[in-house]
Amino acid sequence: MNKVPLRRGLPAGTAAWLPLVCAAAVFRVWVSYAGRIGGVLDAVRFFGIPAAAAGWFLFERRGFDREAETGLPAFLAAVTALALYGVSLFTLPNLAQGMIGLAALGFAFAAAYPAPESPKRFAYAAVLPFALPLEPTLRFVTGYPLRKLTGAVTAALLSPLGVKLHGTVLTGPAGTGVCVDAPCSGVTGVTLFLFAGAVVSLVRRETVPGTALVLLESFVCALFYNVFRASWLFMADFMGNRPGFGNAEVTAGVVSFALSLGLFAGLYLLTLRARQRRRA
Amino acid sequence: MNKKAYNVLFLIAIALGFAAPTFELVTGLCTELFFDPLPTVWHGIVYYLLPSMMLANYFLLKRPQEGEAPFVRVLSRVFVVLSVTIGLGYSIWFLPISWISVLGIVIYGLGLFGLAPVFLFVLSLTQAKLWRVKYGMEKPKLGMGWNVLFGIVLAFALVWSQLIISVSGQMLKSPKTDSKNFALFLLSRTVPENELRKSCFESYTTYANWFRMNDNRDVLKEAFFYIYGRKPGVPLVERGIRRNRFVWNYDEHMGTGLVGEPVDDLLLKESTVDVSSSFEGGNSYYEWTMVFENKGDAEAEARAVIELPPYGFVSKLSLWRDGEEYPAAFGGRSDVTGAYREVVRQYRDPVLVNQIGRDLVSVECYPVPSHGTMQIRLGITAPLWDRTRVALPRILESDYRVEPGFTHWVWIESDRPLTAVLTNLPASTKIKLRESDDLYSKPGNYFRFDGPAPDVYRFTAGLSALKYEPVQADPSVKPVLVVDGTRDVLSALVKLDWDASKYSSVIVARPFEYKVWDGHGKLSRFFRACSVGAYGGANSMAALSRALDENSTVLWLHGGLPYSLLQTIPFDQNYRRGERPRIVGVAIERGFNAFAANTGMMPYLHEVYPSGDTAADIDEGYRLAVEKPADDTGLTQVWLGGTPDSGAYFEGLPPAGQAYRIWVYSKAMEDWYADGKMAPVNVQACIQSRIVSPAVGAVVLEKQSDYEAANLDPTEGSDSILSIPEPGEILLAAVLALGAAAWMTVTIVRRRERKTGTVR
Repeated sequence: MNKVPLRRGLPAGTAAWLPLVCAAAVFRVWVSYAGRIGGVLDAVRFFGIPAAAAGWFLFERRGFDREAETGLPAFLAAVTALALYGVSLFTLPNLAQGMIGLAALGFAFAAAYPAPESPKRFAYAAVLPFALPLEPTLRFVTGYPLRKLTGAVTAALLSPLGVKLHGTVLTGPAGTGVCVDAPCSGVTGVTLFLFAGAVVSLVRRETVPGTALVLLESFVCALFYNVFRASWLFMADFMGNRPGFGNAEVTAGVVSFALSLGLFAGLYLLTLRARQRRRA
Repeated sequence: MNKKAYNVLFLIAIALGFAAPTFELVTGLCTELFFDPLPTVWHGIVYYLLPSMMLANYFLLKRPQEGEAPFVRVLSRVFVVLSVTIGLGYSIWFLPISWISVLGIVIYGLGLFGLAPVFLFVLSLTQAKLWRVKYGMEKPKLGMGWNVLFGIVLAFALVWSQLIISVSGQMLKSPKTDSKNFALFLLSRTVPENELRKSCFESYTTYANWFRMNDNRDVLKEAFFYIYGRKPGVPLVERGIRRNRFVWNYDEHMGTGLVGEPVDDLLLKESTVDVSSSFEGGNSYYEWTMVFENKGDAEAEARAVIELPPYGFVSKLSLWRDGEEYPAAFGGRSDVTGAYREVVRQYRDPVLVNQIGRDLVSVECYPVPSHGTMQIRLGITAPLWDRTRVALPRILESDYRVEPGFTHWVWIESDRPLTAVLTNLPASTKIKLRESDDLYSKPGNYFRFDGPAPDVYRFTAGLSALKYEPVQADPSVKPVLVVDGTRDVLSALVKLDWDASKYSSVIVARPFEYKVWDGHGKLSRFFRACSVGAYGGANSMAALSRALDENSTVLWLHGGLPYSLLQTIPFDQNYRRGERPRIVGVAIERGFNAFAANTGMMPYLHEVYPSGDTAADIDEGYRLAVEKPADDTGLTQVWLGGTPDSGAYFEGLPPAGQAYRIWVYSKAMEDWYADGKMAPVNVQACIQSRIVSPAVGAVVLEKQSDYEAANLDPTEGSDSILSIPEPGEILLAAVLALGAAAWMTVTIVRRRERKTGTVR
């Protein structure tokens, strides 16, 4: 039986207005979060990410045929997300509403691409929710599990030195200790890595499974960043060079982050080539 | 009265009769300014009945008598009698403000509603006359004399509660116990709970000022506690209480350190409890995150007394501001308390934690913004309870509400499987629970490690032994049994088997006196006899003082006790004179007990941590009351885990982990239990290790300048356990941007190379 291609979308030229319509439909997100902007970083994130996404959309659409039909799955995803957004207004907290609303906008962006390209743009829906201040909520919800996870992996890594985990405190054989405390949970790193993963997926035109894989890789690298940082500082303490607050933590953090970024790039290229080989 | 005048009077009176109570129900103006004319539903029904009956009677009296059914005459007469009675009753009640209404109409053109009862009364008299004219009766059976009598009786009935409250308030101030008991009887039997509750708070109404009703607030609060066994509650803003059109007084306990009365508008919105429990290390670390929500129109202070796990202490405190977590500064108790009060005065964000008793801390945070939230986190360190059990911290008393069905999110991880005692979960190293507050707060709700407890002396990284109870108990002396004679406590005790010979005497405390058992009959029968007519609360101060006179240890089975009833002088005197009292408390009824929530009492009051089994708790209390001191120092020891040389193990080493903190706390508390004082070196050790103890508190302030002004340093001691905070978000974002730029450069260069064919 011949498969009927899902090409019942709009002409790409008409569909280009979809994101604008969707952005208007979720106006409450803009209103509620614009009023909560508390600093430059908030403003950059909140306006910058959607603006950059729109810019990328316009930049990419240059070469597309305006009469080409757009993909139906992305359109359906956008409509479903909008419907969920409508329901969420009565049932979910503001942040969840915002995330669903911006994901709907992301799907609307994807729905405006011609059919063969559309499924490779679902990552818009992963990128746009990062415009919201996710970190405080992530810190509250995932802070402790992340601390436990970081502590457990670090303790396992340093177990030959007799390091044990008590709660979230790494204790050495001589009683020295490093606490994976709430500010050390690595939530900032995880957020940035996941954001980077989403952006890479968008720019590299990853499909939905590809995007999921890239996000998983970015999370692994975020964990590596935190474990490396904790191990560095524990070892410094263990060797008798107890770091004080300030430069040591910053240096360890920045270097670990840069190394983890490198790891992320390497891991991504490795899996990309593996996937390309499999396809070939 | 001619017909036209009657009709005009009828229209005005009926219109006012319906409009006045409706206006009052909507605006509460009279309640705020003068008195509450509709305190109960019955008052409302009676008030609305008055114009309704007169309206009906208007039409009944208009009908011709010919051909009228006999019952119409009777019905009309009933309406007349009731109208005159109610009209007179309300007119008498409103008399003190009627002249104010007249003045208001003359000066401002306002105040007509205050005259509604008078208009209705006049109309009822007119209708009475019309009835007599219509039916030709000069002297009806229920004449005007009876009507006046009924009216006066009704007026008394309408203000009955206020009268009783006022008279009882005076009687409660009497030195005679009989008068006080009678006042309590009157209040408990004849005054609705809500009326008594409202009378416990300062009222700004004119009536309250005229009749000096505010003078008795303190004794009425005590009476409320005795009758209902709890404190009266009040919303932040309630008409007639704490507020009128001109004066707003939200919270009389703000910044006082006392929890005060519950505030209806303030509630616990979210609560998560994360626990890491180590069987090997013999300790647990808890992080309790709480979010408070204020649904009121004014800023509020969230205050609570938290019961920690046995021998536990607060080792971390933080406050969220703009989504960011701010850690606390640990410092001398007076320093942190002073800093908190100062910042509260400026309406800015601080949170304060102090230890107020054995396993008890007070938490104060301000402001919880109007229609907003405030989030705090408490870190708690505690040794395992009896080597194997993990108890949870609980709210003992709070000024915020925990709504029925509220759920605590509990996540426990441990190095050995733990069993939840109250739930049928399989033993696991990871337990995730969603517990309703009822279940969470149950005394028997704890977790237990399976298998035999480890040998104390075989740990390599252990703890120390905490020493407490500086007493010279003589085991040959039988303890005195003191019982709070409340309904709940006595009903729990009558179910148990008692061996009366174990006690030198038995005293049951009541609100204003105590009863001593004469030694005849069964003890449970004595408790049953005492439970007849018992109230919800009792005052055991006099009974405890009496028990101390017997020069023996005291086993005190108690319920709650508010601060207002606390007396410490007799105990201090004993303590100063060298006759150190030894009181072992067992909480039979859960609730805040001011005697236990007092660091000054810690040297001679030992509270048995409630296990949920009343009989077992009493047995444990008895064991402690007659226990012989464990060593030559006269100190009784409680095992906390660890090796005998734990002190040497920790000395000179950098602090690490919860085990070290327990050791520091143990050392510091040895001083406190022995002398009620803490050596400066121990105070400093607590600050360095970030431990809240009787002499050290924790506070989060808003600005660095606030810390500097209070001579506090939020980073002090924070390096005792090295933490590894992440670099700032901007810095990491910059690194990410650099990485992205590098990748783009490489990509662009490669593309160009591909285009130019130079790629290898």
